[in-house]
Amino acid sequence: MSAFWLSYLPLAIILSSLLPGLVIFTLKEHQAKLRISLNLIGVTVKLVLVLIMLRAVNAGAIFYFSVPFLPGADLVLQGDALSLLFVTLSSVLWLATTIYAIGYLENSPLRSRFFGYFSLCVSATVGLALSGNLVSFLLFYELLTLATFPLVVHRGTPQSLAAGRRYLSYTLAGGVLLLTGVALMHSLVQSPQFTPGGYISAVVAEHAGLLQLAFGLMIAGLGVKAALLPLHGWLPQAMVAPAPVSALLHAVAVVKAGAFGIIRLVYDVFGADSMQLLQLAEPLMLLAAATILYGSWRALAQQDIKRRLAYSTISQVSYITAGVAMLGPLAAVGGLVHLVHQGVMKITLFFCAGNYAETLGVHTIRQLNGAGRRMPLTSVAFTLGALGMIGIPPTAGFISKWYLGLGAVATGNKLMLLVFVFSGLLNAAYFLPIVYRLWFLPPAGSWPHEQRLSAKFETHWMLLLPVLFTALLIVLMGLFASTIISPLSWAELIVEREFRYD
Amino acid sequence: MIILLLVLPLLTALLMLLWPRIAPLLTLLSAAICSMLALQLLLQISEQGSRSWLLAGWPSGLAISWQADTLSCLLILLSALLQLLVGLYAFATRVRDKLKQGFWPLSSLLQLSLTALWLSRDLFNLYVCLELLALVAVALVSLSGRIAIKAALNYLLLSLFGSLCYLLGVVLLYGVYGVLDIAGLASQWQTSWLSNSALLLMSLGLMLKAALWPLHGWLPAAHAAAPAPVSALLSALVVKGPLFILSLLWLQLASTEQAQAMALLFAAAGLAALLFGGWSALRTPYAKKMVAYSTVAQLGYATLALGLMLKFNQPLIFAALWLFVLAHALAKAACFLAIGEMSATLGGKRLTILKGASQTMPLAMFAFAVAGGSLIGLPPSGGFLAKWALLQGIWLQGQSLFWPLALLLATLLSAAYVFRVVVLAFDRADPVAPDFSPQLLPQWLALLPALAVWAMALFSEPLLLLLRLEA
Amino acid sequence: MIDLSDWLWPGAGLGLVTELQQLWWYFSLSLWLVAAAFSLAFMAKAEHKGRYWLFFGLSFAGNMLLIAALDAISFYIGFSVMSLSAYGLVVHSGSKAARRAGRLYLQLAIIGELLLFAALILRASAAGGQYDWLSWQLVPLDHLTILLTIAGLGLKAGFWPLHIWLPQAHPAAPAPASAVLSGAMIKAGVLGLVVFLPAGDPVLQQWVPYMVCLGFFSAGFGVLAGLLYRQPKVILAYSSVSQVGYLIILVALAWTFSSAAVLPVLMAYAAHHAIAKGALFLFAGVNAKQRLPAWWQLLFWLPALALMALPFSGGAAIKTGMKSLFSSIPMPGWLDAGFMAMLLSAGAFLTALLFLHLAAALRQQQRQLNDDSGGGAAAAGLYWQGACLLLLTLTLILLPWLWQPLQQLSLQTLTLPKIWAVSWPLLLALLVTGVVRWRHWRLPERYYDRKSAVLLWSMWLQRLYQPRRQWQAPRLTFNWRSLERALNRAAPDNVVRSSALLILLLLLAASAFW
Repeated sequence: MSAFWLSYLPLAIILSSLLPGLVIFTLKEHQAKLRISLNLIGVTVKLVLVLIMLRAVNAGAIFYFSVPFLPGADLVLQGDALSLLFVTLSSVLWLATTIYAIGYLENSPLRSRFFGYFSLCVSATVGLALSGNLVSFLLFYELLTLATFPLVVHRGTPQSLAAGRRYLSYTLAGGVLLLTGVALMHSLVQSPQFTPGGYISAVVAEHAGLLQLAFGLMIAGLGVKAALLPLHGWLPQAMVAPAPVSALLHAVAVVKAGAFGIIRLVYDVFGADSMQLLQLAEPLMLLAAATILYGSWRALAQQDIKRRLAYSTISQVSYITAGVAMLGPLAAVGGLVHLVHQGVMKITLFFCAGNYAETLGVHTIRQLNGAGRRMPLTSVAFTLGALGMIGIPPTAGFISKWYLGLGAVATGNKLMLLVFVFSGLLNAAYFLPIVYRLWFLPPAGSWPHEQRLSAKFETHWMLLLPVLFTALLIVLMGLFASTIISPLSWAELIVEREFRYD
Repeated sequence: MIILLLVLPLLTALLMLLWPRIAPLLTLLSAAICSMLALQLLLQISEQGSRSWLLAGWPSGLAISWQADTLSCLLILLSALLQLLVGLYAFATRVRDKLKQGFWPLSSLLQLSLTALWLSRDLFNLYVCLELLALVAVALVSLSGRIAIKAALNYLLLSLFGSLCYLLGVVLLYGVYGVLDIAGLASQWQTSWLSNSALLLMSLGLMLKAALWPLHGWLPAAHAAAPAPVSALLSALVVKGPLFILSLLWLQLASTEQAQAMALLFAAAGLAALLFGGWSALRTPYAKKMVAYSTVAQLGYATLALGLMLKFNQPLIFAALWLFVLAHALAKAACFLAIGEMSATLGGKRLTILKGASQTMPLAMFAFAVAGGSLIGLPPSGGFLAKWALLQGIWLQGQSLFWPLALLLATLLSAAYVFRVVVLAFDRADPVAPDFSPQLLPQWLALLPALAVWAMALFSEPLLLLLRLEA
Repeated sequence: MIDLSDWLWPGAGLGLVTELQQLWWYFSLSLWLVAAAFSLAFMAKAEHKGRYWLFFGLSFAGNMLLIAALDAISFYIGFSVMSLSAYGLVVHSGSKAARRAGRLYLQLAIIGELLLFAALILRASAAGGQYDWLSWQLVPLDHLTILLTIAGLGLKAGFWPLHIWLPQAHPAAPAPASAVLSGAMIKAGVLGLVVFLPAGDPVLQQWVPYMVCLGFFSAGFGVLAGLLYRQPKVILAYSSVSQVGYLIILVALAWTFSSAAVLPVLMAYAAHHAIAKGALFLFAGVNAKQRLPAWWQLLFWLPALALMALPFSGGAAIKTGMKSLFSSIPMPGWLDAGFMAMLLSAGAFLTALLFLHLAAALRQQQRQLNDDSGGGAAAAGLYWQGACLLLLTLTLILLPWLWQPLQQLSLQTLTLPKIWAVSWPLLLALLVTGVVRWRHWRLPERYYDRKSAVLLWSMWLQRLYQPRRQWQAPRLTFNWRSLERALNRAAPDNVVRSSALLILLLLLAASAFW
């Protein structure tokens, strides 16, 4: 392929989900086959394109595509190692979620709209991952907000509308804060491309106060989506959305967008050195630590499965922030790899929760008693996900926790090690009782609302397949973490490139 | 070419009186031709620089002074395009909405007066245009019939009162300086008690006509009462006329001390408009009133930008001012058309009729949401562009955190009222059934300006460049 | 040795490289296999057999993996798999007691797991990203790491004061599971303590005397506590606490420079205890179920006497070996060899007392069984179980004479003074027990079979992490709707008038200003 065409690759990756999405909007409800094939074609094309890009980036290439936008801030799409981490995660999980959603929403109304927005959401996520400067990032960040809102309120019930309102008020406020911060940054140093090591070192001495302000504003903006401590309120409530949406929101799109933004901000805008000079890392790390503990603590008391998972997400996403804020290579590896691992684990858990709700009508933890015998495969997947969240080897969660711990010690933050250990305890305290109910308690008699979705399997095969796929990934990513194709190796590659500048 | 831009609408209006049956066709035709002419003019001016001339070859002082710079050309283009669009919408819905025949000549006259206003650089000529504009606007409002009478009358009274204030100021200035063209006045301008009073009188009059806070009282009722295409024109264009004159006065005439003295007042008024208008829009139970209050709020951005421009004299803020105007014009036209279309189809003027509109009228709702995105300032829309320019201007000026935070709050308010509607539209619990099957064309027409305002972002660099040069 | 470092993490590997690993592997493997064979008959009629075998298999695999691990992460993986799956074994019966014990077990297992995780992290960091045992041997320790390691692994090994789960979990689990829990799994903790902490580390040396004291205390405590219970499996569990105390003494001695001399004794002790304790638990399982023919008593007394260190048994050889170690390893002045030897003899006396107590408890259990409970129903099963027990017992008898390191120690015990040194505590214990029985000396009833306070602690902990209600941010409610209404009412309704008024006011204000 010629270099010219390669430069359009980032754009093509976005379009591969955007175009099918737009076409799907125009489809009639009953054109299910066409809709499904459009979706699957989009996914396949995207995966192929991502694969091409992965290989090239691995060899050292960086993709670059720009359109003039604002003065001093073009609309830049940049395919580097870090963006590909997120792009690959979202593309692969999009595949899983698409299949899941097709099964989940079978025979429910307004599917064209749902899948349309779904594709838009993925496009925005991928765009966000690929965006090459702050302004482009801001743009996709806002688009993501808009694209996910209809998904949150998809059911159209009063609760979902309330959740949608809440979601919007949080995310739009965050977006505006981010906008203010980005504008401030732009007025100080323009908005060049993201560069490893940051691009503000020249003005650190001159504008220390303003830079700190900008950082604060942007973290506040990103923190909404990453559900950092005082800004997490939307997440548990957004749980009223259909299961594939909460899976996507929680595992991939929204929360990760925030976390990814923080990674970009810390490493590619400010850079580790300037972060240290401006004394920004410590507060961010402490905030992340507080969120980790708070989220876990709140999860303890939740009786609704999805709400418990939501609080768990609040806690787990902050691992990424914490890893990034510790500013050491090992911690960064931990944070980055947790971006992927947490995504896969959490999506598994949400898929499982969706399966229980869809097949058995089970929504609260008490009703789960003995579900392991009725739905063994789903429950195995759930157990794996839960063990991963606690960080039990050999699951993926152990790897990220391991690196985070190593990073904490290497950067001299023994306190963070304590936080990780304690959070692990809390994770165990809220996940293991569920696992216990699944396997060790007898079922309570009849299920609240049981549906026989498949003659052969425990539930519809389209609901089962993605769960098994992601559950398998959890174990594989944990066991073969050192192999060349694992997320861990990719995270190490990123960190190598990020920390090479000095 | 400029003459043609002025004469064509007039001629059309006259022809319509002769052949009322083809009035829509004539309006559309003239608007289309005017749009093309305006585009050409814009290209020409942006290439060759601004042109000014005196009417009829009289010397300065006596003659009527005209000037076509990029800003005027942009505004002319905007007016013509919106005219065309709204005309199309009115044509498409004329049978259903029982639009009166009077709309067509009036809309041509509106275009005429606006074009003249954008081009005039002479206080008295501006007054004439303003007066004509106000009369046409009142007439348009009253097209709704009896329900609009009170609102129209209020509008008329206040508009006349505003004109009177303005005229008084003009007279004072003429008495002192003996000239009325702005360039001439600016060259001999002095800060004095008299010029102060003149400026103040004129400003108050203009503020009343432009419905700037706290003199916006007439606007919500008038805009809400008018037929949908009229409200679109009023909100998008008519209120911008006095604003244009206001900016001319303060940016080109007023001395630095005067400007500095008023700067914060303007900014404060803008901020108050943003907060008050936003809050009212958030709380009102009527759909069109909501959009009208949103106009009050959005004009606050312009006032705020004007105030900050006076304070900081920063070209970026000037650009922001006019970007706000452009973006708001497009977005508000889309909003009014979309809301009008939805209330016509779903039958009712309360906001609650929009329940479930995302299913019943997805296109119109989408148009509203997209336009609303620009009102909020979501990237990459025109509203975002304006806000970006304003923020850049403010940040470049110094360390004050107050204005960015105020903007932030205002943005959140606008987001709140826009999404109040959007959330309603997603309510699937008990959607309001349409009275008849929704028409597609008007909905597309409502979507068009909304898309256009997002497309502004594509031309952001040339736009910013042009407008900054203008300052 | 299988090198997996290309596939997994650097240094990953499995293999039985050291003698320690080999021996540990073999005795654990044999115990697991015998327990599995025993389960075939013992669990034949139990419910949820699939679940039992799943968890049995998983913890078996975990245990074997951790022994064969050549690096810390493999060890940790095996350790986690073993600990967590053993939960399934503990709660298997599903009774209330089992669920309670299981909860406690799991709580402590998770805590131990995470403490060990922290220790591993600190260690790996200090070692600079190397995970294999060999590289770790060269890296100096610090106090925090030592503390975390001892606490993390100690929770599995179960010496005082980390034993609290043991007397709860062992009785609750099915007999073969208790056998492996007590025989093999708690040895995993002991093994970890040996391999994680490099012998001869200067910081570690400071810990040795204290750990020796802790070991002695644990040894004594286990017996004394066990004497207060009358269920055979609880007594056995407390005996394990006591025996682990001796193991901890040996582990602590192995941390010194003379670890080469200590390790054989340690290995011998571990293997001996594993097999004997396994056999006793299996016996207790059968004993509780059905009436047994008289010759079965042999299957109890042989392992029991071995643990009581009867002359010519492995126990005696090991005790002798320990005594000679005390004299050869330098200790601080307050802990001289003679004192320790005396403690050891006292310990032997106590152990003997405990097993005599156990024998009585077992007999009591037999007596309470109905005659028809066992019957001939499971005759084949009974023989099968007896065969398994016999296998273990034979191993136990032959071990001291066939296995090289133990053989030397056994040969040393053949002198008369040594035999006397080993047997007087036994005779004394017999005497004391006899006197106590004869005189019917007993403590008041309330001291026996007390419910452990630990269960209350576990409940409290559970309530802490499964709160019914949590602090909620107070919801601020402000009735701004009425405020808004009032404001609306106050707003002027005549727009013209109000606007005109406003303009006038503004003009006035401006003129006053200028």
